[in-house]
Amino acid sequence: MSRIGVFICHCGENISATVDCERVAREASLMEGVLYSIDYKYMCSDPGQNLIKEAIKEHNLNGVVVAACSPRMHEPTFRNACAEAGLNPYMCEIANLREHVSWVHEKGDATTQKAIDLVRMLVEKVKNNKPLLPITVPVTRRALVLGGGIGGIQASLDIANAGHQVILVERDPSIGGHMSQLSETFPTLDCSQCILTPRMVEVARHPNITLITYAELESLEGFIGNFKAKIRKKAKSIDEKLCTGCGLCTTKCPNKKIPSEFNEGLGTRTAIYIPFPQAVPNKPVIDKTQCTYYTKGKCRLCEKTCPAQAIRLDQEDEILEFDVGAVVLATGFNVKGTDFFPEYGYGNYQDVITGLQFERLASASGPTLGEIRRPSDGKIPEKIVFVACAGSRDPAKGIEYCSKICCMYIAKHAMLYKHKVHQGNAYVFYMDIRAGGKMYEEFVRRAIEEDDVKYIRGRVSRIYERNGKLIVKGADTLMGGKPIEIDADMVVLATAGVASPKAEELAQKVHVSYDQHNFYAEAHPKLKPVETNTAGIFLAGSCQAPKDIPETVAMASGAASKVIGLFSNSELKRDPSIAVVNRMPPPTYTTCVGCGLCVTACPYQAIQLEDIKDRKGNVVKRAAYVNPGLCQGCGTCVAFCRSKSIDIEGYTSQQIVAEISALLNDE
Amino acid sequence: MIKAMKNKSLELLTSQEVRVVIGYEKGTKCSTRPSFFFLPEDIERMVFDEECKNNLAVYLTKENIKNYGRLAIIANDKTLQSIVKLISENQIREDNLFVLTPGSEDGQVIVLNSIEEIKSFVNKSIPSQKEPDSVDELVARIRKMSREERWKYWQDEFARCIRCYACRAACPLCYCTRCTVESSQPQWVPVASHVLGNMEWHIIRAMHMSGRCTDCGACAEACPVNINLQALTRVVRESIQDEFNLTTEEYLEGNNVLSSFKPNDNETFIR
Repeated sequence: MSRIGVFICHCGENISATVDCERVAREASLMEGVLYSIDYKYMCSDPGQNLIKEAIKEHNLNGVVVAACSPRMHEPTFRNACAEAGLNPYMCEIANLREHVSWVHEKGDATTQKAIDLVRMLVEKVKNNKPLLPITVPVTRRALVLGGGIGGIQASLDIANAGHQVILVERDPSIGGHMSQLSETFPTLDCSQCILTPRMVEVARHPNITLITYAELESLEGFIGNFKAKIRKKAKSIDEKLCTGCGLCTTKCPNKKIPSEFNEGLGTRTAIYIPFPQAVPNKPVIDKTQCTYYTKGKCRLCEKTCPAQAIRLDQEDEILEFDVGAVVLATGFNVKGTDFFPEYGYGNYQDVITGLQFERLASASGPTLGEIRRPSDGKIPEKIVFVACAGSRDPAKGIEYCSKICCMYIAKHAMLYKHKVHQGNAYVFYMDIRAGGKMYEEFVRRAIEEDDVKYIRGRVSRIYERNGKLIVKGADTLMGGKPIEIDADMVVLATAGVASPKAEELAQKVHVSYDQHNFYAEAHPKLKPVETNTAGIFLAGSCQAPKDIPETVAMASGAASKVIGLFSNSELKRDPSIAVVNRMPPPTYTTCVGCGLCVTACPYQAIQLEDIKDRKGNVVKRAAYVNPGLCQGCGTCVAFCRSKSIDIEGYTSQQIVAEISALLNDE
Repeated sequence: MIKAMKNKSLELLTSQEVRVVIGYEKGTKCSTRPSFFFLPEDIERMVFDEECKNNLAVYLTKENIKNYGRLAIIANDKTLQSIVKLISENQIREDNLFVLTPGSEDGQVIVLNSIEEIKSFVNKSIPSQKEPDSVDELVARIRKMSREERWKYWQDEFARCIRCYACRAACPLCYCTRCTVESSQPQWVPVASHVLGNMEWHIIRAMHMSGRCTDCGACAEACPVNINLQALTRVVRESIQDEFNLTTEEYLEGNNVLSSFKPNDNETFIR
C-alpha cells in the first residue's frame, strides 16, 4: 500500500513564475497512492527539509516525490532528509520541474500540465521503488600519477606529503615536462628551471614517491579504490643501480647528430643521452631507434667506455604491476609544428619557428646558450615577428578554441628579445590580447610601453622568403585594414596548443571521456573540474585544456586533494544504482543464458561469466555476474540483454515502464 | 554413406562413448524427421540423405538434452555452422560432443570431437560463392520497394502470423530459457496475435538475430503460414557482414559484433 508524499518547490520564483505550483500540489493530492502533498517556496532550505521530515513521520510515508530542480543538484539533499526521517533514501525521487519545465517553457496551462505529468510519472515510479543499501568497497591508499610535468610533480608531492604512496610514471627519460624547456616565466620573468628543478629533486628524494621514468601505462583495470595498473618500463639499456650518471658514455657515442627533443630539434644529442643537464633521474638512456648497435648490430662503444660497467644492451622492457586506489592524469599537451601552416611555408623555412623553439633559443641552457640567434645561419635577428593565434581560434583549421597561454608568452618572448637585442625591432600580430590573470595585463602593457614592442592588430596572410629575409604580409585592422609587409629575420609562430599525441589512446585505456580535440573531459565544467566521469580518475593540468603554470599547479593540488579525500577512509560508499543479473530459486536459478553479449558491451569491464552451482556443488549454469564495485550503472548491458535478465537497481524496466505508462494512460 | 553413418553411431553407442545420437529417421509420407537414438538396436531406423534438412543444432542447448552429457549429432552444413556459432556464444561445452558429418569423398563420414576440429572443418567447407535462391529473389524484390511499400509488405505478411513461435522453436540460436516476449514484468510485447504485437515480435526477433543468424532457414521452414522469415534475417546477416567487414569465418567465430568495439570497425558512425 503506497503512502506517498509529494513536495512541490517554488525554487524562489524559478519554478513558480511559470508553473502554478499550488495547482500541481492540488492535482498531486488526487493521484492514487498520494497521501500528502504541499508546495513551498524553498524546499531545499532547512524549514523546507523539515516539512518533508515531519510529513514522513506524521503520515508514515513510504515514498517521497520532490518536484524541484535537477536531481544532479539536490537529489542527495532530499534523500538525506528522508534518511534522517527514517525512510530509505532510495524511496525518494526527484521530478525536475526547473530545468525540464519552468526554465524551458513559457507561463501557461500547458506548462503546469507538463509539471503535473512529470509528478504523476515519478509517483508511479516510486510505487515500484525498493529500499536499497549503499555498496561499500575497500580503498587501496596508493595513487598513480601519469605524467611528470609540473602538474604531475605537484600532484605527486601533495599526495605524498599527506602520507600516501605515489607511483609517478613519466614517458620521457626525465621528469620536468614542458616547464623544464621554458626560459623564463611570465609575469615575473623568473627562470623556469630555477623554480622547477628543486621540485624535481624533491620528487626523486621523497620516501613516499616511486618514480618510474621512460615508462608508459600498459593497462588499467578495476575501479575506484581498487585499480590494477600495469606499467611498461621501457628498456633504458643501463643498470640504473650501477650507473653514476658521469656522462662519459654520452661523450663517446659516435651517433651525435640526432635532433634533440628537449631542444625542440634546434640542437643535437647522442644515441645514449641524458636529455638535459638538470634531468631527474640524471642517468642516460639508449634510444634504440637511433643507436648503431640496435640498428646495425655493431659499436658497443658506450659499453667499453662505462667505468661502472652499467651498460646493459640486452635489457628488455619490464612490466610492473601496482594496486592503486586513484589515478591522476597529468599527461600535458603539445604545440602544433610549423609544418601545419601552408601559408607560413609548411615548415620549410628554418627561421620560422614555434614558441616552444623560441623558449629554447632564449634559455641559458639552450643550443645558443641564451643568445637569440636564428637557426639557419646563427645571425642575431634585427627584426623579429611574432604571430599570435597561429592555428588557434581558427575554425577553418579545425581548432576553434583559444590556446590561452600564447598572448602571455608572446609578450614575454618579445620582451626577452628586446632585453637581449637592444637595437632590434619586435612586432606582434594579434587578434585580441587576452591577459586575464594577476599582473598579466600589466605585463603586456610593460612589453608595449617600456620595451617598445610593436603590436599590430591583424592577421598574417602569408610568409615567404626573399633575399634571405622572411617577408611577412599582414594587415593592420586598426588602420582600416592597411596592408603591411615586414621583412623579418625571424618569425615566431604561437602555434596552437593541442592534446598530446597519445592522449586518445590513453583515454581509451583508462576509460575517461575526451572532447573532439582529444582533451580529457572533466565531470562538470564548473563544479567538478578535476574529476572525470570515471570515479577515481582525476585530471591535472593541460591534458584537460591548454593552461599556464599557475593554473596547472592549482589544478594539480585540487586533484591531489580529491585523492587525499578519497584516501581518508579505508572504504567508500557507492550509489547502489548498479546493474544486477537476476537470480531466482532453483530450478531456474537465473533467466540469464550466459551468451556474454553484456560482457563485451560493458564499457567498464564490470561483467564476467560465473558458474552457478547447485547444493552439491555441480555447475548447473553459466551466467553473467556484475561486479558491484566496477559497475557505474550506465545501463548499456540492460539494453543489450536479449532475455531481459539484467536490470539497474532504482531504474528497473518495471519502474521505467510504470513511468511511461503513467504518461501515456493520462487522458 | 548412410552405412558409414550408422556404423559410426553404433560404435559410439555400444562403446558407451555417448548416451544418445541425434539424427534423422523416416517421417510420415516421404519426409524425414529428427530422431533420438538411445539404444544400439534403434540405429536400424536411422536415415541420412538430401531430404534431411532440419537443423539439429537446435537440440544441443535444450536443458534435458544437455543433461545426457556426452552425445553425438549428425550434422549437415547448416547444423555445422550453427554449432560453431553456439560455441562462440558459450553455449556448447568442449568435448561433450561428437559431430558426425559427411566428408568430401563418397560414403565417407568424418567425426569431429573438439571445438578446434569443428571450427577448422567448417572453415574449409564454407562455399566461396553461393547460388542465388528464391530468398534472394524475394530480397531483391523487397529492396526495390519504397520505404512505405516495404513497411506495408511486412505488415501484410505479419498480419498472417498466428504467434505460434515455431520460428523461435526451430532456431538453434533462440536458446534463451525465458524469451523477451515471455517477460511479463513489464510486458514488453503484447501476446495476442495482432498486427502490432506481431510486428514487434518479428522486429525484435530480427534484431536479436543480428550478428548471429547463420542463415540456415529453419525459421522459414517451420512457419505454418509460410511467411518468408529468412528474407529478413538474411539481409540482417549480410548487412552486418558488410558493415563490420567480416569474412564468413570471422562472422561465425566472432562473438558479439554489435556489443564490442574495435578501432578498425568499418562503422564510421560509432566514433
